[in-house]
Formats: sequence, structure tokens, C-alpha cells
Amino acid sequence: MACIPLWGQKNPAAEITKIITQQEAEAHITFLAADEMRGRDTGSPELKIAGNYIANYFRQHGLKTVPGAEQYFQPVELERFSPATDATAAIGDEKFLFKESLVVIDGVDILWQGEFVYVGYGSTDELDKIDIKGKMVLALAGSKEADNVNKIFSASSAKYDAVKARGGAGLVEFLTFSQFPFPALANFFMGAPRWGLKSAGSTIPHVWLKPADVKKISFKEGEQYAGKLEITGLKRELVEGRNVVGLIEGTDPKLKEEYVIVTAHYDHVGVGKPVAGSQDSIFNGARDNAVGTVALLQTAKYLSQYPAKRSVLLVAVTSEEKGLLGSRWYADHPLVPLEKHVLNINCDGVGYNDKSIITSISLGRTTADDVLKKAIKPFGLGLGGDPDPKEGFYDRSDQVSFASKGVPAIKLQPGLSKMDDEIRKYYHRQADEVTTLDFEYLTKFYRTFVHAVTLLANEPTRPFWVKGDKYEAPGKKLYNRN
Amino acid sequence: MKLKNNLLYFLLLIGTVVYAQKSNPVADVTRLVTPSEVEAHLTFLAADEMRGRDTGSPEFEIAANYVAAQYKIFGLKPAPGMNSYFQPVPLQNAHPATGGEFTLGGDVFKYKDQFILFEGENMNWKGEVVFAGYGSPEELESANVKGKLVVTLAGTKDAGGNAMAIFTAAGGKYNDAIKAGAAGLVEIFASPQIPWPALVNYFAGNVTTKVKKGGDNPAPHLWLKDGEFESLKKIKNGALSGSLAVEGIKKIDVPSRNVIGMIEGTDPKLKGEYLIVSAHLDHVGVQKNAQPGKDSIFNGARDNAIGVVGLISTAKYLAQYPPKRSVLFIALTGEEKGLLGSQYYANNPVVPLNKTVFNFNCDGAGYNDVTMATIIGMERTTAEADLAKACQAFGLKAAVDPVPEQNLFERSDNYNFAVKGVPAITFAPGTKAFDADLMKYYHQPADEVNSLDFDYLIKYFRAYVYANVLLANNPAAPVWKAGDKFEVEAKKLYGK
Repeated sequence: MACIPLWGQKNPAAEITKIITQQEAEAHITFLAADEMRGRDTGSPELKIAGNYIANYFRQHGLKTVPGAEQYFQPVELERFSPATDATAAIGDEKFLFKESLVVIDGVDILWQGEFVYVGYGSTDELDKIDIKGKMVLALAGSKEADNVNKIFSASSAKYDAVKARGGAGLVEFLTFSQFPFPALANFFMGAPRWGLKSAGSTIPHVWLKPADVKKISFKEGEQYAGKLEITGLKRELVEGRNVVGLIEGTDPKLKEEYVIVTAHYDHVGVGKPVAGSQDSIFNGARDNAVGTVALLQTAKYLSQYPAKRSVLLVAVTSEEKGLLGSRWYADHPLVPLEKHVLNINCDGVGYNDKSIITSISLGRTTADDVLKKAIKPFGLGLGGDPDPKEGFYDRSDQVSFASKGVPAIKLQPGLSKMDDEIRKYYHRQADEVTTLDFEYLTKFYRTFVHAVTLLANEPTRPFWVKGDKYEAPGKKLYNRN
Repeated sequence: MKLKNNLLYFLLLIGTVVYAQKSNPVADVTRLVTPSEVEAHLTFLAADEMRGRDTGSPEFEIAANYVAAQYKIFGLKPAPGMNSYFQPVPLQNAHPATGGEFTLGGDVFKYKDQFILFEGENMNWKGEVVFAGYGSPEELESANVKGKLVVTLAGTKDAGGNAMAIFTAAGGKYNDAIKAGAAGLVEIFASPQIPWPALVNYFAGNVTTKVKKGGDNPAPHLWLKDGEFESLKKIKNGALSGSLAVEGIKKIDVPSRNVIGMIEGTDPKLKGEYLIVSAHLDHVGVQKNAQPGKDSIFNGARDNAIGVVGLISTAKYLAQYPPKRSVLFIALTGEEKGLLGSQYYANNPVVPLNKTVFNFNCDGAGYNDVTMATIIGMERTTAEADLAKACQAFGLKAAVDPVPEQNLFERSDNYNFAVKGVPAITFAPGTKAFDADLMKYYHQPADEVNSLDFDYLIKYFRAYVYANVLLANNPAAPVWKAGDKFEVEAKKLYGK
């Protein structure tokens, strides 16, 4: 009998086939994506129950807990932001009215009077040139270079941080980008509560204005106007979220100090309005991301019986749907030093439409690819890459929280050949139910996934970014590599 | 020579496999029922987030999904004729009447002051009222009750007004009266053992949950407070005219579920016989009007997450080592509301009851003796020897009911099987008395996982699993011992 585990380690594919069963995958997904789980929304009791389910599965399989995640839970400090109910601004002789020509992006309730100072786009150079201390910074939204929505958002949020760091009283931006209809913007920012990580330090106002009828502002850099800004009804509440963390220690005396971190988000988007002609209002999130969560459970089950040389951290991350919050929190508060994390393998998907492959969105970007090509062999699936880099899949799920810190991070998911109606039929829809899944395929997917994790966690050389990848530089910095 | 050697080797191999599967269940139970696994299941089921698994609550439904997930993982089949693990159990919450008046002759009886209502609808009835002694079938017949309200004394002729007799007789008497065509039953309650205000509090103050009845609106069933009323004397001499008005009753459907999985037996003959392993999944929810800041959640770790884990552990073991008999696993709903899930199952079995040879239920109030398991009904069936053997294998004594006066046998789900004749008993954690140690946790917010003794419980679970293994493989099915009060029903059921 004693020879079986040894043999199993030499031939993990056979053991994986035995341990990873279709019926078990079906059981877990059916539980997690049941109507009773009400779409596992951030802040809901059902998400807590899903977290308990994962934690107790880790407990059942004897995973270790990690300091900072007692009882398998890492607290994640979330903030629920309920938008202002009213706001007005007066800048010189110009007045701006709530929702008609003004939206509040961030801040706290305030009644502020003082000087507004115009800074152009407010690049860091411009901000350094003009004294903004104690003044409300008036700028054009985004940056000179920003030519689409995402870029404007990210330039704007960097600018906000820069203003805060320089002691500005707040940031007020003119939205000159004509592709945003202002009412839609107002609806988005002034509608349902938004979620974020707990904000550090002071929270100065961040406001966008509609410049259409503005006549009495000269848009000259350094020009100042007396004015006031009033915001009321805004609420920020702290809510504790939870990442679920379990550890399987490595068997190799040296390699056990290196950690492979396997992640999958276990939250989804909750309950919405019923679909026309049906009573179904529940976004079950079977594909997104009960499927990924179960990949994590299956990995825990296999590796708890056959530990790898490296240590493996299994982290079910929370609040991905609210902006990758759980993974961002983990990357900012890692439970072992970040430079000891040699690889992140994230499992998350929008759905699948090619049952002949497993998709690695990060194919071509790290040296883990060679191992992946080996890992797929025993289970009859091919290996596909990102079908549509324009969609920005890589930067839209939790692996990017690790990648941006330099940790090589790959994203594996069920086969996606293109973004088409077969995908959109289920993506963030009530129809994303367990009854529409092909478990025969998913079982192959899970076995391949677990095999990939196993090989990567046993591979003597650690993976790294390929030369020239945009995350190579932070990677070099993190690991002190040349 | 070679061939012979190979053959010998082959036979040895086969022999080893057979030997490993058959002959050391104690070692296999020990290997499969692990501390980390039972702790995980208990922690999930009794977490605060499960809010006490109240029947009808969303958390009960999630607990049911959890049990179904375990069945699926182990590879249990749905029961014959079912396409899922869920048996729908239609329950109904009745909110008590808010007012009412019963008149008889010239007397007026007010709701709560002089009468309470067990059964009925909002109504406005006028008609003739007759008296029928203690309401025995003979008395009902001679009183000519058809279309009339019938007044009887509560209890029975033999037992008089003894409280227990009143409660036990009420249901049957009501059924007899309705069968005889009465418009309803009014019992005159006169027991010094139970003060009237306590009855009113209990029966007219709480929402009650019952199995939903189909068909027409139920006829009224009243208890009348005995007292100095002329009409109660006069009616013994002949019919009087009367009326009954009831208002404010609300009935709300509560669909619930039993969770049923099956393992088919391996013996061609014995697989036609079923062992039912049961445990109730529900508990009593969250305390209303709890003081702010105080724990209000009845976690029900002991009552009855423990029993459910006994059931799950048994399913895990028997799925890997199927026994000769077939086994049905039933996680029951509504126990805390009055054994409703088992009542519904016993009236709507998925396998005919006469093919069900035994019910081994797992349920308890808690424990205060970690040297034993307490088996309610231990001495009443021929399962006794297997039970003792199973407990002994894991270092526990098998103890009998320590407090027969508590009627524990009739207070858990095994009872609903027993009344149909099926030998049915309950496996409970070691209980030497109903003392303060036990009551500290019984139906209290303190009944939490972190107060459990896992060193003891692992023995308890293994003993329960092993007992089921023995019962499901024993060539002779257990039967009631001669002279047991359920023997008559058993003979009817099994036709022996």
C-alpha cells in the first residue's frame, strides 16, 4: 500500500483523475450558485455563508491557517460609499447645480469657502508649479494624453492623489470629454452605493463639472476665483469583508519558503430586477465565479493529500465585482512577504464557448507557459490564449493586483475562443445558473487546472515575466532581479 | 508451477481486497470519520450566519442545500421515484385568532377568557349544539351530532381529567367527531394541573406551524374553561342553540423540505429492506426581543447539528462500503415545531413503510456524560446487541433513557415511525440526567460549536456510524421486543 502515494506523485494525472470527480464539482457549484445564495453580493449574509463553506472545506481537508487569517479569514476593510444627496458649487460668478452640471466622485459632507485655482490638466509638473495648498484645484478632467474613458478615469484618480499629497483642499474637474453624456454620468455616480477599500487619511472632495455654459472662467493657468462648494448627504460606512485563506506547506526544505498563491473570487453581483417574462431576479454567478471557486476547492483537496515542493496559499478573494477589492487588499497586506510569492494563479472567467481548450489569458507573458503546455496533456484539452486583448481581460480580474506589484500572475479559465453571444447570454445575467453548465467539460477543466498548479508548484525554476512585458519592471524591483 | 503461483498470488490479492472491505469496519470507520471533517461540518451548520436554521427561514434552506451537496459528493442516489434529494414538505403557519365569541343557551364565552381554539378558521356559525359525554365513538353516535357542534368533557372516561390523558385523547376525539359529521368539537377543560392562563399563553399567543392539510377548511376545535355556567349543565339534558364567531386567524404557507438520499444494498434479497437513518436539520432560529448586545442566535450545535453530522458521517462511510440492506438518509425539517418533517414522511413515505425495517434517528438535547451514548428505546428492540457492540468498539457505554418521565421517546422523530409500527429509536449523546449542565445549552444561545468536546464527539460519531453498519448488515432485521406497545402496529404494518 505504501507505494501508492509515491507512485501518485510521479504520476499526478492518475491521482488527480481519481480525486477530482465530476459529482463533487457539481455538488459544490450547485451549493454556491443556488438561488438561496442570492448572488453572493458583497456585504450580504449569503456571501458570508459562502465564505464559511470555503473555510470549512479547508478545515475538513486539514489546511493550515496563516497568522493574520485566523479561522481561515483575513479581514478586508471595505467601505460602502453612499453618494451625496445634494451639492452645489459657485466659482466666481458661475453656478453649478447637483446632477445637472455637477457630480460628486468622492469626498465627505462639506461646506467650503475659499479660493479655486485653475491648473490646466493638472499634471504633476503643473501642480508643482502652482501653489495649491489649502485651495480648491480647478482642472480639466483626465490628461492631455487620455483619449478614452478608462484612461480619463485613471488619470483623474492619480491626479486626485497628487492633489491630496500636495495639501490641496479638493479637486474640481471640468469634463470636456464629449463622449460622456452628463446625465448618464450623474446616474452612475449619484445612483447606487459604491464600494471601495477603506480610504487612508483625509477624504477631500472630488467633483466633476459640466463646462457647457461656462463663460466667466478664463481657463488660464494660475488664475484664481473665490467660491464655495457644498456637499451633503454623503455616507461612508466601514464594512468588514473576508478573504478566505488556507495554506498547504511545501515539502521541500528550500522551496517551501516560496509561495504559489492560487486565487479565485467568490463574490458575485447579487440580486437585480426580474428578467422580463420571468420572476428570476437572482444573478447566480455559476460561471462567474462559482466555477473558479470550485477550482480552488479542488486544488485544496488534491494538494492536501499530495503536497507540492513549494508552499501553496489558497485564497478565495472577496469583492472582485466591486473593483478587485479583496485581491488589492491582499496585495497591500500580504500574509507572507510579497517577494516570497513566486506566482499567482487566478481562476476567473466570463463563461466558456470552446470546450476543446483551457484558456490562459496571460499566455505569452510569463515563463509558466512551458509548464502549462505539459499540464494540459493528460486531460485532452488544448491551450488557448487571450482571444481578444482589446477587451482588457488581463487587467480586469484579480491577477492584476499581483501583477502590478511584480508577482508573475497567470489567469486560467474555461475555454474562451471569442467574446460572442454565447458568452453574453450568461455573463452577469440571471441565466448564469448551474443547470446550464457542462460538467463533463468542467471536470476536464478542473483536472487540468489542478495538474497545472501541481506542476508549477513542483517546478524547480520559478516563473518570471517574459522580457518586455509591462509588469517585468515591477517584477524586477520586487525580487531585486537584474 | 508458475501458473499455479500466479493463480495463488491472484487469489491472495482478491482475498486481500475482500478482507479489507469486509472484515475491519472499526478501522475503516476510524479512518473515514475524521476529527477535522466532523468539526468542519459542525462549524458550518452551527455558525451564527445560519441564524439557528429555523424552519421556513432562508438559512434552513441553505442548510438543506449543504446536506444535499454532501449526498452528491458521496454519490448517494435520489430515493426511488424522486428526481432530486428534496422531498417537498408543505407546512403552514397559523397566526392565532385575535377575537371570538361562543354562545350556548344564554351564556357567552369570550375568546381567551373562556375558550381557546386548536383548529378552525375565521367563521360565523349558528346552529344546534349537543352534548356527548367524553366523546367516545359510541357516545358520538348516540348523540346524533350531524351538522351540530358537539360538546364533550376533555380526557377519557377511564382517565378522567388527567392532563396527559386530555392531551393524548384530544386529536383522536376531534377526528372521530368530524368523521361522525359534527360541525366542530368543544371540550370542557377541567384539569387542576394546568392553570388556564398558561394554556391561553401557549395556544393563543404563538404562531403554530403544522403540516398543511388539503381539502375543506377545518372544523373548529375548542377548549372551554370549566365554570359556573348554566348552559353547561343544561346541555347534558338536551340540545341548545348556539353560535361561534372567530376572527383574525391568518394562515401562511411555509414550503419546506426533507433531504433524502439513498444507498442501494448489495444483497439481492436484503436490498429490498430499508434502514432509515434520520436527523432533524432545523433548530429554533433567533430569539425575538433579545436584549440589545446579547447573543440572540440559537446556534443548535448540539440540537441538532450533531445529529446531522452523525447522518453525514454515516452516508460517507456507507457510500464507500455499501451494506447488504438499502439505506435511506433523511435530514428532516420541522422537528422543533412538533416533529413535522417525520410526520409528513411517515404519511408520505418514498419507500413503502412495510419495507422499512428500522429507523435509527440521531438527536439529542446535549450531553453531560462523556463515557456513554444514550439510546432512547435501546431496550425496546432487538437492535440492542448491535448497539452495545458499536458503542463498546469506540470505548463508550450504551446507556438507556435516564429520564423516562420526560417522554423523550415521543419527543423526537423516531416516534412518528414507531407509531406506524416501524422499530424506531434515537441515538443521543451521553445524558445521565436532565440537570443544569444540560439545560445550560438546551435551546440556549450558548449551544455553540466552541463549547463542544470533540474528543468525545468523535467517539460518538464513530459509534453511530458503526451501529448503522451493523444494523444494515445484520441478517436479521431488528424487531420490537415482545409486549412492546408498538408491537401491535408492527404486526399490522408487516403482516406478521
